[in-house]
Amino acid sequence: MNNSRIYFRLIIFFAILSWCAGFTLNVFTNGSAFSVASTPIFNFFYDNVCHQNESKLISLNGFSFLVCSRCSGIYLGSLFSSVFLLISLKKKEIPLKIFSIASIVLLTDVILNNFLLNSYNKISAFITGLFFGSVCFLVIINLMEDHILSKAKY
Amino acid sequence: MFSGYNKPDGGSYFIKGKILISSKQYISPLVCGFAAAVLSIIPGLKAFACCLIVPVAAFFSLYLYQKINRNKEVVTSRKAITFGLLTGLFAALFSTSLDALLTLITRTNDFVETLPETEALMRDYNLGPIMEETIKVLKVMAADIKNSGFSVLYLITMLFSNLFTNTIFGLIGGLLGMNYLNKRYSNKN
Repeated sequence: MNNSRIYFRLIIFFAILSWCAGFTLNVFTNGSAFSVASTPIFNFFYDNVCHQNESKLISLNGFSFLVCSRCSGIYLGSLFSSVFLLISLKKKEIPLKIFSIASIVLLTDVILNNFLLNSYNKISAFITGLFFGSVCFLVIINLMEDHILSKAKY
Repeated sequence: MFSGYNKPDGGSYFIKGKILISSKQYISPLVCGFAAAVLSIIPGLKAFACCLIVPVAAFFSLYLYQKINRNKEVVTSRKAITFGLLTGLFAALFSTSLDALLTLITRTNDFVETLPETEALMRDYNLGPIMEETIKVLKVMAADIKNSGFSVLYLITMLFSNLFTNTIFGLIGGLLGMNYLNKRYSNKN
């Protein structure tokens, strides 16, 4: 295991941690002064990647995440995978089949919730997002490591 | 991609770098970036597609490029990253422009409409003079939009946030697209 791989994974981990901290800050600090003050600025970023529909946000202790349940699942799934990669420090090959299954499960949940049942289920959205996010992250990190670290060798 | 040539007066040489070979190769990221920008301003669609619009656009820009050029070669990670970043960049530029145009016509947007709620929430916390200054800046932005339909500060903030998020998501889409197209290529052979 070379050092450049560890540094690369650490950078990615901190990048995802910051991204996740941004949308969960409100909830985990119980609506602290800083989180409330920074919400309008954070909203500019998260509004680009999520509809932020109030009925689809996860709420805890009266405070909500800044992204919907599905997006929260995707980002937190990526965070869990990045922690897992930091602990295991091995290269994890994810077959395209697993990625396809994760995508199909996510898409099925979107269609079921939005078009067929017409009732948004936050738990299923979060879980399918979590699965997709963690698998997707492992695929992307493999590709990035192949590209960046193979270049670093030369 | 990289072309080297010898200097006529000596043995040393330069490496001349280009991102893409010709301007024709910018067409598919441009088209897909524009499509992503248009789709991202449709409220109903955004509720379903969420953060998937830009990655899917980046994937399609790679796919289109392969189709247009009848290219049957393996997609390199360099090309995937370039296409992903370009699609994200174009999507950010177009979506900011479209947002500015819509704001100019309607003289309102989500930011202006939700500002009273945000302000009320902030005032509940009594955060002191820094908060007052923040609210003042936000109010100036909203007032500019209501009066003239245009705010420089709002435009810069939007452009920065769009560039930041779209390029990252474009890059992800490009890499996933490369993975999919290369797997398909290896299965065919």
